[in-house]
Amino acid sequence: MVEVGAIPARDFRALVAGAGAIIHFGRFSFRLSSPVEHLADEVHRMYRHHPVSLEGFADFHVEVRPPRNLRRWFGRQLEFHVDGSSSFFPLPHAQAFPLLEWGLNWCVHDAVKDCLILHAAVVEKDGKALLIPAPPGSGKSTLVAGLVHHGWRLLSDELAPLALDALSIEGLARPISLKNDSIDLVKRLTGEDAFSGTVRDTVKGSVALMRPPRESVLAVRRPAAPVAVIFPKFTRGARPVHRGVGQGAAFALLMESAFNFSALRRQGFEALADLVERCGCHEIGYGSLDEGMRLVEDIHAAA
Amino acid sequence: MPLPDARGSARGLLVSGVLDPVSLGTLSPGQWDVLIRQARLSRLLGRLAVGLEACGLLASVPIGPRQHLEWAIARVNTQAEELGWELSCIEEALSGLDVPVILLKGAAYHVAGLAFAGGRLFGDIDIMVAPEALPRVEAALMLKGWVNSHHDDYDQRYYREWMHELPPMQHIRRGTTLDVHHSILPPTARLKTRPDLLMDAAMTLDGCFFRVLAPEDRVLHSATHLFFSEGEMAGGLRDLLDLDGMIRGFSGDEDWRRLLLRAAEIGLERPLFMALHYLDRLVGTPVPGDVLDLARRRYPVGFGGAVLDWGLRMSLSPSDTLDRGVPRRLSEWLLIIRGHWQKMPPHLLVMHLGRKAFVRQS
Repeated sequence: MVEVGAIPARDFRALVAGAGAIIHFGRFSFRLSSPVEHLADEVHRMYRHHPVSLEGFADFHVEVRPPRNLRRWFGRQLEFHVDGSSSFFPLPHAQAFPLLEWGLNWCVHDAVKDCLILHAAVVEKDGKALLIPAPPGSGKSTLVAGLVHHGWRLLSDELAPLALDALSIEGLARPISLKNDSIDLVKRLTGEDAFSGTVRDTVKGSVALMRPPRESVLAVRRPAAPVAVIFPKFTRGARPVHRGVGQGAAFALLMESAFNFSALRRQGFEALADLVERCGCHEIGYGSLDEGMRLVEDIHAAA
Repeated sequence: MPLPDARGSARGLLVSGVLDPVSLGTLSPGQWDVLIRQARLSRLLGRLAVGLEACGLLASVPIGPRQHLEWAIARVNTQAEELGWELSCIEEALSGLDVPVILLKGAAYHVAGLAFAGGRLFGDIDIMVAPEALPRVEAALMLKGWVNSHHDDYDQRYYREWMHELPPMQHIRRGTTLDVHHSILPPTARLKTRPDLLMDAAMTLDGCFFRVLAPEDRVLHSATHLFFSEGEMAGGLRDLLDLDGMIRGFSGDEDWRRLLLRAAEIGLERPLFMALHYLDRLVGTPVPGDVLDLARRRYPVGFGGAVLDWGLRMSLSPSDTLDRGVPRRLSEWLLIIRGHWQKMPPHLLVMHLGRKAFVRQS
């Protein structure tokens, strides 16, 4: 399969506006149709290294388009559609790309039933993967972007598909979602090239997405074994701290972030229990990205 | 986007895939793409998946569509476990009342162990009790955490005076919904039936607190629900295939004779004949020739019949998108208008729709 970047941007725009393009991420795929040109352009840049096909099977049929009812006359808005129906509120036109990313997250965790989908980032080095769950605002994505810039492999920024035997986590290698101050912070580190445009005034503040490195996308079908769970907490100016987290507490925290936990019933419970029994669980606090990355490296080295 | 003829052939694929998975043969990735979405949107993905698995064909499905089929099987299994638990909770709430409680539709098919119920996905649980037992049943359910989800006075009155069920009850902790019926048609509906006869004939099942309708009454209820309720037919094809499954369970002339007599006795011939008409035309269910002739003769004639037929065929055929074109939306409107016309006399309907249109929901 060719990579998205092999198709000229203009042709890609026409494809997305016409019959649609099927983009593959890990073992999943979505067929994107949209008349919104700036969305097609962002997808073309952010999914540059992902395989694309034009026909065949796609897991999720998604469309981002203006509403057809009266709403279209009130401000320029867009809706996210799966299989032709929209269950989300429309968002302003400028937020097309974040809308697509959030919608795709929903598609994955609503459909998938053969692994436990955790709201967490996953990075890997030397065959050892770290699971980084965290509520918004904890600095998870910033930390992940920093690690990935320093050669770690990105498996996922938002959704971690944990195998039900808890022995491996699959990669999705979709763009990393950065918010507010961390956008400029990471841009200073990596340069602007890998970044989408910054969308202001979303429900999460300003949002920009960062393209995953080509190596991560090429290796996406290689799962990784989790060795540690790290709950990060960034507080400006705080001194670096590292504490162990008990298995029970880690289980409870992870359960809250497991999207399909109740649908998997016993299997989900056991996968999560196996994970916290097998992995070291840690809490880190830090006041700068460098300190955070150093704590993560230490945990990784000791695991 | 598949070509029109690919879509056309896949329309037949869904029904034949559910009824006879072997007939699917080898499909192209594009055909699977359409079939999986049609099955999901028609609420038939579970049945398709369970059928393929039972024939040992699931493993030979290409990995992309196979994942969706396996996820559907996982959903089916979760649903079965949750249903068992939910029914045990309802039993606990009602077992002290000494009131016969009849399960309807999806939950009943599961409990009765009907062959097609294996992969059938459904939403809420429906029960039916005698009208005079309704206050006690409602009170007992409320004691165990089910609450009325419609608080508005008008909605309460709408259900309690005009409908065949209480306002839907929701469990305060589990969030599950329970519909408590005292009949299978609103008392205001044009079509009249005899819920007392349905309840008298309901069957007990070994070791089960709940009862289910007699086999021929299950057919009549399903047909009535499909063709004479509010007209929204999102799960229409699934319901039609339920009827197919029930009718295929009939063993011979004696069963058909009983079904026709029963339909006449409880006033549900019209829904039965309508169901048989579409089972023959859209599904190919084996129906004896003389019964089919009867059904054809009773189908509404003239312009009205033609429009109704167009609308129903539109709504009962699978689609791979919910983004409905103008014809489909028009047909849905027609069926909703017809459904309401069947449901209430004109003066009530005008009052009800006027109220819904002009009074803001609190």
